[in-house]
Amino acid sequence: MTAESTAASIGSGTPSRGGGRFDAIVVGAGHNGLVAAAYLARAGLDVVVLESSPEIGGATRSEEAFPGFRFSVFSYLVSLLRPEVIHELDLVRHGLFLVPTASTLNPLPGGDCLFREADPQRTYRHIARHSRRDAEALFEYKLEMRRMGHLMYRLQRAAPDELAAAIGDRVAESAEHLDVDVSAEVADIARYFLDLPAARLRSFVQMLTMSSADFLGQWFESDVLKAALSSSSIIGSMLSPRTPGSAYVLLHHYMGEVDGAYREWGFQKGGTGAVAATIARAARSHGAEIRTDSPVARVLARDGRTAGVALANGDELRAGVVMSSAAPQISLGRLLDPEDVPGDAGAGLVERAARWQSGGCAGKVNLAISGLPRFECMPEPGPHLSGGITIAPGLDYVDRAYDEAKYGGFSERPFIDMIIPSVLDPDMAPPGKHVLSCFVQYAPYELAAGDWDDGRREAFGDAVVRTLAEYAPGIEDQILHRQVLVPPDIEAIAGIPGGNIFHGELRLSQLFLLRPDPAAAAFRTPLPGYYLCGSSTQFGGGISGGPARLAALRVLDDLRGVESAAGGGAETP
Amino acid sequence: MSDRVVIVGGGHNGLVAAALLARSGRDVVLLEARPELGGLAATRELIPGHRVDAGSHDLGMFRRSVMEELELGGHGLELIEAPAVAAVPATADSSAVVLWPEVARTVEGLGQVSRRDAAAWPGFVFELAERAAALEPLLSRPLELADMGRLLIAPELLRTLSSPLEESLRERFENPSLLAALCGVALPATGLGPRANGTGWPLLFHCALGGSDRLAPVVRARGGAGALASALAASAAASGAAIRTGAVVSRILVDAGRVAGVRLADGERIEAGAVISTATLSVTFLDLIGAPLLEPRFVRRVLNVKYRGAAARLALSLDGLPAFRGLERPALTGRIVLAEQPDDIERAADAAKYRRLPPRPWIEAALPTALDPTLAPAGRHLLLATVHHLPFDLEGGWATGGPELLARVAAELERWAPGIGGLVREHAVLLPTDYEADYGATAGALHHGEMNPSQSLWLRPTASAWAGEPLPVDGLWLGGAGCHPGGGLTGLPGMIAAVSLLRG
Repeated sequence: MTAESTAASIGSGTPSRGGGRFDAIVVGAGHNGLVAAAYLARAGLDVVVLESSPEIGGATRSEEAFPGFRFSVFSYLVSLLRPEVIHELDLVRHGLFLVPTASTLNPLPGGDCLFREADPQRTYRHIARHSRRDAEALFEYKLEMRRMGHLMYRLQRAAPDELAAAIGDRVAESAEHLDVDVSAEVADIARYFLDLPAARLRSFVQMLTMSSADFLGQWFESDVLKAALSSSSIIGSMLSPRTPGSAYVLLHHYMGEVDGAYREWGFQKGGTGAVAATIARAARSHGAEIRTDSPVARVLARDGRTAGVALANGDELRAGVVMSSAAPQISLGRLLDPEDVPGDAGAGLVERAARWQSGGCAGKVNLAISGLPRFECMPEPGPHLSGGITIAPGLDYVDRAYDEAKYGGFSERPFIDMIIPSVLDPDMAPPGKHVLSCFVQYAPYELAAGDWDDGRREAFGDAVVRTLAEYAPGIEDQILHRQVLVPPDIEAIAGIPGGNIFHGELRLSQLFLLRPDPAAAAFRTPLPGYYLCGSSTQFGGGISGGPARLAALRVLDDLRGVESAAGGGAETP
Repeated sequence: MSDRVVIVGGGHNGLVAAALLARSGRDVVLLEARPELGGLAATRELIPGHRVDAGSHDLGMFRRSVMEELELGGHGLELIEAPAVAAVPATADSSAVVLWPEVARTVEGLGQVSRRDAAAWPGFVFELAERAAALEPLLSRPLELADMGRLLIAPELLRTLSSPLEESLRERFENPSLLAALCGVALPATGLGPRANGTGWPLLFHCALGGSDRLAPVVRARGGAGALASALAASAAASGAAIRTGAVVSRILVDAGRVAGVRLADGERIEAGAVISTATLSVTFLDLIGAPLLEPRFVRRVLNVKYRGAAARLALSLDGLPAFRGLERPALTGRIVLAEQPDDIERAADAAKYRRLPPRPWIEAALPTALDPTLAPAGRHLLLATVHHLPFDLEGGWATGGPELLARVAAELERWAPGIGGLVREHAVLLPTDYEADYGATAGALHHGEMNPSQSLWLRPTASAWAGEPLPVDGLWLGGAGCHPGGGLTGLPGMIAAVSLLRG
């Protein structure tokens, strides 16, 4: 079908800029909201994105926090951005520029370290210093993770209801409970999944339920390597490497690639805010409009269908399609009135949204520094400074940091995952000076003893600097400015309830048909015309654009369905 | 090839398998290393004149249909159902809570501590029963690939079993003692604290097998858990099974990829066409068969089984019933959970991570003589205090750690039941190292492998397969707690082994 006929099919007539009537409204201008808008606009719909804050980007925003020093405020690296999103939206033309970060340095106490480089032979030698057996096992492990990552990636290409229907169809009786048409592609995915060798399927189910320490323990013996590899299993999650479920978070971070290079991580020139800006440019190039300072108060319905949104200032915008990129506490708990939902499908939505787990656990400490840090293990400038640097010297260390946060304190000796963006992109800081981006765990959303006031925020910042100084002596004297952000800040600035960077813990009880709600796991909510497209849907968090793409494709599918039901005529291309 | 079936291990699972197979006309020889039958469900005179249960002593999950088929009542088994399910006594800072099988009775009691919790209780029991009932059919047969698919597309069941138990409970309840009671029912021998993902699973497991219309009732055998083993042995013997105690199996003999029989420590060789091993996976494959006969990949799988969740038991002979604050005598008949709040269990699990003793152990206590006075001499009572979430590989070792743990347990008991120290006449102790040495429980894990979702259901081996792949030795069957559906006095792994073997 043509773009024009899609637009015509929802009966909005001619587009009317500023007239308060659109084909589709997207709530939230984070990267997912922008991706959804770009796909809809690309299909010819008249789309407006409504962002409550003064800036676009959500949790991907970048800012000049101190004169001359630019920071990606919350997120910091890009790997999960789906290649199909990059290609279909032509993001490279609109400014996507990812610089690979090829190595990871784990400084250890006493001036030792574990350094993993792009070159596998060199990495082998580094690991063999700690355990020859582990150095041997790394190749086999990487292969297995690659297989698992591909499997998960395949599963994530299908809306969970279709996938469940296809799996149900293959395992018999339960199929009739799910009234979903399944495309040939989804049927293929289900078949591929169920036809996997038993050992691989077992490994996959283990990954959904196991701790990363146990999972990694199947290959490795050295505490140092296990701790280093387990870093990806706790990022953004209130989990320790020994908590069941952390193996899935590990897998989640093995689905990425940069420019076709599997498992690469990249730094976006200008910071991750430039990714949002790139997607915004793509969306605008197709005619989408983006309005900031436009908080949405609720979704409007008429006759059991979506009719538009009401803004906080009382203005009403009309559209037959509304997509929300917000977390379920907002999308389902606040914007939607269950009374508007036809039948009893709205029952329990608000209560279930309230039980959604999205308490943040991570803080961000952004430092402006006068020169490059000198790590005791590698004091001179070198390639290690252009990669990731992680403070996670052992499993017990990370577990103790987690235990402190579990009972409502922040970690006095935290886990830190940092990069030095100005090494990769000199425009991030004045000449000779640098920015250091520290993603820090654990900082719970709620403290047992009082609020996150300035005193506690600074105490947390001090703990980070103290910890860094153990590995990079003298760094405390290099700090020119310091920005400390904790989960309530992420909540306030990016609008994510609880401040969880994934819009909700990535764990089996919040995945697939449960993400974010059994009644809204397929991007469709029980109110026809109202959709979800954020990180709290299938695909989950990270700068992937995956959820929004699948959601937008489903919207377009549904519109075609409406059209063919109305005898619209045009066939699907 | 011999038609004989040799069963390694005379725990309750081995005995169930022996009795079922003998009843079907098979030539069965059961070999138990210890002088008494029952394994971890044995009753021993650890204190002179007292019948002390060494491990499990709750028959609430034991399959009733198996009891009937094997006519255990006719062979001397007498069941006593406890009036109470679980109780947490009061302390200076917390209230007492008692859970009864009867919903209304529980609601009445909860009303004294939290109106909100009392109001939420019936809905909780109903929903739990509903989910447990959905799970139950998966627990009494080998699972297939399709079952995994079914589970993945049953959202609410999947959510309940994969969530942290405490988090799910807090959606409804607020009273710390009530939360502790439910965690105390679910988490023994799991190795996991209530904040860990997947701890919803053990509570569902208990409810699914405990008769899903009630919340995990406590059922005991008159004379101790060993009475179950005796009845099973009598039933098996009546059907012609040969049961030998003191017979230590040192090797499962394998000839050209097939079992040929077993060899005993004294050199005796017993030919068999099939062997059912109820030992742990580690003992079965690494000790009895031996790694050299197995594929490295398979050996690695065995080595990767997690045996966390060690326990220690202190048995005390008391001059009278101890005074647990806020608990009347009927409340003392069920599980007595000595934890003020879920975090007491969580902190014990934390300590185990770092191979330490819990600073303040949480205790699952039982007073078996409150139901069955015959277990101790007249005037005496028996208290079994089980300490869970212990590290097997304790830093500094158990030789010094054991006495230290006992001192901490004594202090805790005194806190919960002031004056109990003055009642103690005699005591006996089983440490994690004893459980391994005496019962072959690898790393002291009572469930033969941690019961968490990554080692359960489809991921736990079953009689003839492990994760969809057949076992590497023909004629070998697995029938112990390390198999699906797992540990506890269920009889199911033994039953599944027998049924699978009969089907061929």
